[in-house]
Amino acid sequence: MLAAQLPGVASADPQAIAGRVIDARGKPVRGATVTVEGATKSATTDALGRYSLASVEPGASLIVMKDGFGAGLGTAAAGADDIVLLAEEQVSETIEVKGERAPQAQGSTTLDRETLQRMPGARNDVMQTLSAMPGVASYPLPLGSSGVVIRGSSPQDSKILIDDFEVPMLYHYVGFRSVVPSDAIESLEYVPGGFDVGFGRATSGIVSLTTRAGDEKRGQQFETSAGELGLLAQGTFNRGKYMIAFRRSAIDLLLPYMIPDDVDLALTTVPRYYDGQLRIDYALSQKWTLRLSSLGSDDEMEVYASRDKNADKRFLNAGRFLRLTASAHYHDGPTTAKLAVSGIATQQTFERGVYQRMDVQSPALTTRAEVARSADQWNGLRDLSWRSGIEAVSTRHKLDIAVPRERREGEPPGSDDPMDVTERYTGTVDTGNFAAWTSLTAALDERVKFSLGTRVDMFTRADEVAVQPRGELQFKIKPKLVARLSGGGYSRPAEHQTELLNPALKPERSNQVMTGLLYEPLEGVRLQGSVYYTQRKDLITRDTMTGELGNEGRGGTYGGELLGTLSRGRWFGWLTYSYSRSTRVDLPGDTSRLFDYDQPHSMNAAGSYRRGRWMFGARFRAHSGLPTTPVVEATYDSDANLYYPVYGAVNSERAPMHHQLDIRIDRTSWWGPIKITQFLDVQNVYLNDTVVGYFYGFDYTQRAAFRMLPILPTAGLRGEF
Amino acid sequence: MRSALCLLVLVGCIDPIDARWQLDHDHVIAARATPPRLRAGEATVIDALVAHKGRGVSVEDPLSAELGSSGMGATLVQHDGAWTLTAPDAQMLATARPALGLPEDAPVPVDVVLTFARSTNRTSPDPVRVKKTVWLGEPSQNPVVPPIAIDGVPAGDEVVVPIDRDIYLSVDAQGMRVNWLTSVGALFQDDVATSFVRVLPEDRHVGELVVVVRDAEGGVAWQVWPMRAE
Repeated sequence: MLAAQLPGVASADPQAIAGRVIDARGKPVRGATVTVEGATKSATTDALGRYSLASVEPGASLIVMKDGFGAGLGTAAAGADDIVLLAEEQVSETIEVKGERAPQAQGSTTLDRETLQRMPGARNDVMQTLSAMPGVASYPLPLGSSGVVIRGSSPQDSKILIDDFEVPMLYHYVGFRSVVPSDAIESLEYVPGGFDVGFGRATSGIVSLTTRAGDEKRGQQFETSAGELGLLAQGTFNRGKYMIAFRRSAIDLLLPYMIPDDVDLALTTVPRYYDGQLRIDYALSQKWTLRLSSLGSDDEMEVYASRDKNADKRFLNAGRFLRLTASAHYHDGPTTAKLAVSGIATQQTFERGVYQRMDVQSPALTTRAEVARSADQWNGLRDLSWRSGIEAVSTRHKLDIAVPRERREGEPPGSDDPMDVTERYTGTVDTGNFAAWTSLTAALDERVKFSLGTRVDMFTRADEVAVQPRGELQFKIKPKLVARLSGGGYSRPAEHQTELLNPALKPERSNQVMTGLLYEPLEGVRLQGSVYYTQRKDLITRDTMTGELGNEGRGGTYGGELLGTLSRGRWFGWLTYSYSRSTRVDLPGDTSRLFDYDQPHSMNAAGSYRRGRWMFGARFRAHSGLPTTPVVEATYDSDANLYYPVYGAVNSERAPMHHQLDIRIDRTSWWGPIKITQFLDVQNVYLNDTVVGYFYGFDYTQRAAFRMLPILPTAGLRGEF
Repeated sequence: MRSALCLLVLVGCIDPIDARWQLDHDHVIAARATPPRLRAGEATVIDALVAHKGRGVSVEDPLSAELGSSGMGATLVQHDGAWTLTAPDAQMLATARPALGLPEDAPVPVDVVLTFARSTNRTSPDPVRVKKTVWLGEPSQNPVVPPIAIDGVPAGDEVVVPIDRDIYLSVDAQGMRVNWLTSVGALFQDDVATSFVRVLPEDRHVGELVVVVRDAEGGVAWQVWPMRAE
């Protein structure tokens, strides 16, 4: 069944139209019925596939039906293009326009796989798509080691979840591709703040990916693009569905040929990555479903910054994780429940020269149970939904560290001394985090709806309990216009990198408040406007005198966001603008400074249009440069042969504003039973090589600008059969 | 750092800046105290090897010198442009050790902050600040630059290299840190014992080659050769 709409275009006078209907091989289709959507007019194609209709409004939608073919769509015009019908066996996708569920929190949004793959300039990648979200700091390099910067917060303040459980890294070291290919994703939910009590151990936002369940129809696909090769298979068995995917980088096969001979570099393990995903859904009964899922990723690179492979020039970076999750889902009328056990093994290894090393292994076990029950009415309330859950996470961190003092947010980089091993520790740190939550959502009447809940987190290492009440009030101003006001408390334990070494550190906390409007004037059209304020306290900062970490920092972020989305028929549109200001005070008595990733302005405007076997898209983005801290002078330590910089005011300068235009073209065709999709995604088509950051020379007397690549084309090919 | 920069090159473009082996760049290559460690009451003379853009290298006296925050009773005197540090007597050093948490008879470090003219203009308002540590209470001498080989052949008074070919430079500097610098062509592996240089046709063909060795006692030595590519 295909049903689709185009935006109303009805200002011109009705006129006679004519066109042709062909199949995928270009042959005319005889006897197809061409109907004007919303009208009774129709015509039947002749032996040459031709049709004509009198008095049709230009721009009206044409629906073409023919036995043995999937439905086709066209646009009424005097000189209309051919309408291509695909044979039913070739139609593997059902296009269905359906209502989106309301965003979980004000400002949040959910993208399905098709949208993820349609975003121009995103190179079919979740990581790149995230940069189009309102509130996400944009930068051509990753910000932080594993996450994203949301609403002026550090990457570790937000959580990256895949199938409800945290993963230690979102993207691969090479190419900054996400660890889950978009083909293996069902949806991406982005919640910049105000998330409900079911999520915790984060003080800013949530990015939640859901892997794709196997389709009813068995199929396989392969994809190659952006220096990687992926395979995916899916289908059904007995009462179950499966999806299995594997991906490998291919850039490591090309990289040795891309590096010029005059670079003082030897690649021992050429940067490479693998990732894999498995999901099995099995219906035990009408009420119970079992799900088994697994995610894994493995990155490694080993480089010698010398052609002769001197040991003190060696640089090794490796990261891998494997998560296994088993969950049982219960659904019986108004009652649902979910029980899950998930284990993860992670390892991060870093070695530099003969002195510096870091090996961190963090196996963890998580158990989670949640029960929800809904009711139509109770004590004068309507549409009730009650939810409660518990979660326990036990982690054993095995640490072997000999590295320079970790650079924390707001601290300028130190001198680059390969013998510096100020931070040393070998041992084991156990952490246990337990949580319980409950919430009630209900409507007071037709217009007012509320949600109230509390989450209690217990962090055993710090012996701290964090009680975090959260709530939201929704008011339906008009049938399609809703106002929302929410607020709540959030916390995250002190478990990021070297925070683990200090058991006295307390959790960081934030209080968030936001309000906004949600307007859905048409099916597939949504507009959201939000303003927010986040107060941060107990931030973990370093005492510059003692070098010790403490909970003396505080800060705040305020801003506003606009998000407009369009998903109707052949059209896809995306418009965001964010304003924010994020500041920090590191120690009592210090002056306020800008946050490292403060980005006042950020906008994205994207659109794409599908026509026949082609899809055309473009995206324009502009955003403020990030703050930088200038070096005002340097002292040379002759014995160490090192320069020690003296920095000016922290984050007192800013890189220039950046803007770029990306385009994307997709073409779908058939090669026998194989559906081939080719795409070309070109970033920065007008060659804007904006400065995005600065590097200083060895003695800090010269400053070099790091610029955007002038253009970045990515071609890809996907086959489905 | 360099490997990180090389990887960054893959995702963006970095404007060119002088490498640390570049002699055609105003900077101090190494500061030297002769001797680097001295007994109580003895004196040491401080100077430095300095590179100037477009002019080559020279051994220079500091424009100024002052003791670090804890001078330990040492004195600094300038005479005929040369700066001399004189160690205090043994009793004063013995008093200083507990304050610094040093064991008895351990050498006492004293930091000297020097300034050198950044350019050939010695009245430049933007001098280079250099820290040099002198050790008091224990004698030692600066090392001697070990034999150098250019493509396996002992170096003579002048280094002559072919154009567009990798020429290996090696120094037998066991237990010492090495730095190579040049103003001719490009150096690779500039801070290990075996380096190599490549001169392209478009590079400068006449200049200098410098090797600096540093031992674990604070001693430093260097050697400078005129260099030519043909």
